[in-house]
Amino acid sequence: MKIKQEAAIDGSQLKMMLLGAYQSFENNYEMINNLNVFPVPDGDTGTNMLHTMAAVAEAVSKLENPTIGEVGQTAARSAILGARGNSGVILSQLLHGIGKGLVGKEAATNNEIGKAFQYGILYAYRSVSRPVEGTILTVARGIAKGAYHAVRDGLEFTEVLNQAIVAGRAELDRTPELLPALKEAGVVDAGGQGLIVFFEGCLAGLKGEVPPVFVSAEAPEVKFDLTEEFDLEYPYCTEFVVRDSHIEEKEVMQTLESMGNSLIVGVVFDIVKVHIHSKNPGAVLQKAMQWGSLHDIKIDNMKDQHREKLFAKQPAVTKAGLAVLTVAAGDGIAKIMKSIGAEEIIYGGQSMNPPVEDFVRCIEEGRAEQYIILPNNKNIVLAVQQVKKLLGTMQIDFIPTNNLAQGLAALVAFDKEKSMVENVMAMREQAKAARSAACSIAVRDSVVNGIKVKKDQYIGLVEEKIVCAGDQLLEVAAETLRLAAEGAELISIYYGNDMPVEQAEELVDELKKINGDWEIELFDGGQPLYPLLMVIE
Amino acid sequence: MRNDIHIVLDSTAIMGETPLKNDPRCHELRLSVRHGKTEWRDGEKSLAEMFAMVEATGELPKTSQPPLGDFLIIFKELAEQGKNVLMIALDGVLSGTVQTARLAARQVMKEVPGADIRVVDSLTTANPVSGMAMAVLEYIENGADIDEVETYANDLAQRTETFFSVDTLTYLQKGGRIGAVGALLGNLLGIRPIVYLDKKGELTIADKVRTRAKTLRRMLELGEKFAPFEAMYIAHAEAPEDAENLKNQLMEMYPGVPILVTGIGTVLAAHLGPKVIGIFLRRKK
Repeated sequence: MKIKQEAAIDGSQLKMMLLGAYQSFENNYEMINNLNVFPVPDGDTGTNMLHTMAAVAEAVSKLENPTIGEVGQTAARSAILGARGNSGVILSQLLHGIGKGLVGKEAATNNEIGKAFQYGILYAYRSVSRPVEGTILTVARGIAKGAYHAVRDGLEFTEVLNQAIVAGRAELDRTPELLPALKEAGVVDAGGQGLIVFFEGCLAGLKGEVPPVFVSAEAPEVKFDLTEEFDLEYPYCTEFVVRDSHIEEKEVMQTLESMGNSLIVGVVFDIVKVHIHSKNPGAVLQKAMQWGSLHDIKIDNMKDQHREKLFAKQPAVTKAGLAVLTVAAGDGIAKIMKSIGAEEIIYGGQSMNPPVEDFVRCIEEGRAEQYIILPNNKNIVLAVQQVKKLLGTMQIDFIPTNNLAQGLAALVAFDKEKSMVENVMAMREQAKAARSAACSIAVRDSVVNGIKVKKDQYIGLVEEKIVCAGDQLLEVAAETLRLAAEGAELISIYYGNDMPVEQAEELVDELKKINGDWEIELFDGGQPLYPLLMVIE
Repeated sequence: MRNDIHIVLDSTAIMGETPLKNDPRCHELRLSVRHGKTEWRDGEKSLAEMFAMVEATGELPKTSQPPLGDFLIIFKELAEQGKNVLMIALDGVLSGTVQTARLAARQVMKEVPGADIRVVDSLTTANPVSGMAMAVLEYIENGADIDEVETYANDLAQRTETFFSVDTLTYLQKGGRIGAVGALLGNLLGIRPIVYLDKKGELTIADKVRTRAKTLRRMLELGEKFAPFEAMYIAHAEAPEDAENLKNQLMEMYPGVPILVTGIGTVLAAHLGPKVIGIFLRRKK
């Protein structure tokens, strides 16, 4: 067994690999999106991974002559902050692991970079609390195995990647055997495919086959709730990284705490990342210079931001109390959530999963000291989990609400006067009891649970499971309710943004004709993709 | 029958609809309602009349406690007859009646030698207050003195648990006596609180629900943890079917426990609106 010890990969090469990966997603994200098992317009895996990689590409492309450690670290940080959807978070964890394996290094030997990628796979694996076979994790394990053998055999890193991809592909092809839902739909796992796309991109980037041109992807619009302006006590948003430091997170916190607000400190090995809103950024930097060398310094006057960007709501001067931050899929839903006590709203839902960064910013700029977050969509839950990790359990907790019904039920149970712990318990309880149904439009032909679904047909869902399909919205809605609303006292229907109110009202009238026992209330939800969201009580 | 201790209640206790109606030892002080230029004493107009006035004008009625003079007159009259007096007033958070009663009591005790007037805050309102008076009258027959009677009345107040639910939030909203309930007002989902009057007399939200059926069910469920009971009361504003329904369920859940169902007066209804319904459960000692 021979292991090459000379440095094989440097910072610039890793940068090229990551840019290659981004380009690879740009070329392939639609293909990944099309692998969605369920004909529901899902929180698109490809789009989520693309956006996550876009954040990485943007960050690393700014680095000039970086060390490999810098690239790894920058990639890890930007990925965590830019992560969207579950697949995005898993991808960010992959990069986090790679970054950890390379930290502090000028360049890496074949062996070291191989190990770092194995770390990455391990981190990705660990980020999922209950691993299911036949998913991205199966593919990740295959890749790790392939890479391990190649590293052991002392192969060049390009060949290590090659072998890893070959092994990963073999596992990807096996995913339909492991997960019946995939087999039924005749596809492989989308997240696993995404992982292959990532490694293919890395390989191409390394070989120089993909030009390292950074093209910014268009990020989905994220709206913030803007209600009022107030004076900024700490106008300078100051961010920087301290390298080669030996200081502990606690000491950084203690030193900077009094110098501003919205302080976030991240320490990974000898790298400290600081984000603070201060009155005097010079003084902050002067302090930080005592800890090591300063990099990636960014100072923005938020007064300018406020004028330039509508969504740059300014931080409250004093933070106090407990509040709810909730994700809303439409304007109408947002309004209703506000009226029953939600403090902050982030827009998002199916196929528009808001990134971790949006949550962090919203919380930083919000007025409350503590937030309980309601994701209200299965695909946003992991991102919210990440927010809790980033900001800490003292400040953040969440209820894993999978849909509007659970979100509303949890929100109704919220009581500002009670503690976070008491609230979380009560809200979880209520969310669990909530009953949800919906009507959507199929985005592809498929057979699910023995139900044949054609593209563009209406589909009925009960608790996210497809229960019926048909060409007429009315018949699908009626069948869905027949299955979901037994013994219901009240059915609330939130109609989507594509439906005129007259049509919604007519639909409700027809539904009442079909079953006179149904007590139905109609609300303007304003959500995309789902003509009807239904909450059953 | 002892006749040395007399009881005074305010009109929200609706003693006219209870067995106290013709008891010579029981006296009523009436609060008043004003709607536009019309003013009346509680009991002089029906709920239907009042709600029709609100419907016609869109304006909600206002209420006021009995004038100090009324307290002075009744306390003085009873004191001069040599009677000891126990006043049981509605919750002091909801109304200043109990404060005024204490003021009047002190004044009369100064003016009339030997006068003894005790004022107790019921921490609730509506028919359970009459229920407390009924229990007190029984207690007196066992030879209790006025000190013991006052202690007993306070104990009854502590043991009475109050839940109610409004059918519309409009009246509570405009009435201003809402405390924590205020946070729910004006919500687009029309969520209705089940209100619990805590032992400080404050309105708190015990639960929030959206349908009438669930409201009734939840009140029963919420009450369960306080069982066993020695007396139960239901009060409502023109919701006889719901009241009957609740009564049957309570009788089934707690067989043998006496239960009293009555309406409420215009004063309470002016704050709570049509179809409000409450259950009041007096815990066993």
